[in-house]
Amino acid sequence: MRYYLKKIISLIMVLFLIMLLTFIAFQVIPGDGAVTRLGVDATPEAIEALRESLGLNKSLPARFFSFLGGAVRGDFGISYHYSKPVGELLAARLPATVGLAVISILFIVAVSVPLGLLCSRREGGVADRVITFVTQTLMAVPAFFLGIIITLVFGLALRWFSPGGYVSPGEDFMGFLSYMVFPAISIAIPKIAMTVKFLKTSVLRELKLDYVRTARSKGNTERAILWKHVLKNALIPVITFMGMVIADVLAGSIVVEKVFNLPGVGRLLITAISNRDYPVVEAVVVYIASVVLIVNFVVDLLYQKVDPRVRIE
Amino acid sequence: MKSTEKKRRQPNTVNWSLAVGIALVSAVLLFVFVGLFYTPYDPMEMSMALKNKPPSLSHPFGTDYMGRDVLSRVMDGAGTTFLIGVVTVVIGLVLGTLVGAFTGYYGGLADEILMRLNDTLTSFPSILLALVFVSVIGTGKYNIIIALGVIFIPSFARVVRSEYIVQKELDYVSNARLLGAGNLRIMFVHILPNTAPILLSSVTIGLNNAILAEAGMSYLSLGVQPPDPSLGRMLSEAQGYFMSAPWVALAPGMMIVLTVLGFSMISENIGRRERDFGGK
Repeated sequence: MRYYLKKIISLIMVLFLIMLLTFIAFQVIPGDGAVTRLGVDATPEAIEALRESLGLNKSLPARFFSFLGGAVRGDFGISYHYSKPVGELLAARLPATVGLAVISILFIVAVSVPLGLLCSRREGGVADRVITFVTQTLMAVPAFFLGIIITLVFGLALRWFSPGGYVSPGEDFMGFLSYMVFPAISIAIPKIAMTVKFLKTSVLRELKLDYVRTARSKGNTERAILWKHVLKNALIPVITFMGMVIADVLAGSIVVEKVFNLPGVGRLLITAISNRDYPVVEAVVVYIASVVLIVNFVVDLLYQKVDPRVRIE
Repeated sequence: MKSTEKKRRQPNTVNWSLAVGIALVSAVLLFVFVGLFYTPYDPMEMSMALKNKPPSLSHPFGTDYMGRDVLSRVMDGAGTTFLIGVVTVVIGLVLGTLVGAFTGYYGGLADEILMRLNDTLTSFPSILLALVFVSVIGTGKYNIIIALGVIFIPSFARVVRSEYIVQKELDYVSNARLLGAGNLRIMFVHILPNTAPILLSSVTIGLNNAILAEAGMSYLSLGVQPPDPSLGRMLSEAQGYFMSAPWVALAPGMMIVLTVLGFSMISENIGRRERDFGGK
């Protein structure tokens, strides 16, 4: 119980710290939100009125706490550029990004677990060497370049999908999924390569331990040893690794959304940075940071579930 | 002790992939080095007559939408990308080593706080942190260097710190202390050289991360700004003419892939890091 409490308190503290840092970072930038929204030609009275209504006249700590309070309720103020609530903009962009991330992670898990096991079962064999070579090469390919190649081959040459297309999941869910598949593959492939390598190392280390010998001497088949005994233990470090992969998948989607022209959170962030639309940038940063931290939190909890030793510290 | 055992286990594969890695990196470095002094054409020279021409003898990688020679631009752009990578890693390495050395050697409250901050920062993808930086300080070649350099400090600090924690307990450190060496001398004359193998491996990984981050940011038009070419910018420009001139994207993309592959094959073989294995 104390373990959970400690974890939750540290999660809340880090989240608070991130909001504070984000808030300060965008306060030190020269420029005035009211001027940005109204343009430099606006009358001083109009600017003053907007400053008043945006709460820009209040003291710094007061503004931070109203930012914090808003953030907790999902209210990040009004976008300078779109003049719409930031929460609304973010919500509209979420399906593409969440869909992309979920499908990528499914691909990563579904492909890398069997491949990693195959490699470690036949260590040094032809399959292992081929997979090792291919994964090493694929790890060097940035997701967006892979996306460009996939668009070229499957979109333009083979015409399996129309590049740049998108339908919202509410309109046509299957269509939405079909537009997600190729971007998800471009994000997943380099991460699959890394996961296979990591899993292989982990399985090989487990296979050398005593309990494997015991299982073998009891007459278990190699397959049973691998699936029933080794995999469970070998997956422990992989859980932590997957936490990092999920963070990377989110980052990868920022770039891949541009390649495939998907209306996701990443594209929102990029246009907001170009437009100096700081409320939107703040919101997206806080959103991505929260996701990363919560994923890490869940990973920690899972970790101590499968490996109770970590609770004793 | 442990690491020698590990290396001995697979004597055949180690040398082979290290050799390929060194060959790849040397080829890339030579290409970039030549590009500093000589490119077949002026990388900025435009020509509407030569717009989007496929690869030919006079333009081996073709020409782009402004009729510029892709080979010359890749040579020049790879130089920019490399420059950013190297300076970034140097910033991260020097400052990260300082932070890691002091926190690892002295420990204490400052160490606790800095490492907690470190853990938080390293759990975020570097491109996201770089984007936040850039949205505060602006885009351009030098701002990218500052942003990525600062972002790389924690990962170097973490590696150096864990090395110092191990090394400071070893006999040669207490011997040096008995001989009257001061703390600073022990930290930087005695311990620092022993962190070199692990730092070398971190440097190659760092270079890869820097190259990928620069390419990603420039691809998003938030990195290197025109007229400077960089590999990421070329990819971004190429995308608009994808149907008619796919070769414009392939050349810079392949350049990134070969460079990153070369460095990762080298780092793979020059010291495996224990932390790869879940810290067990």
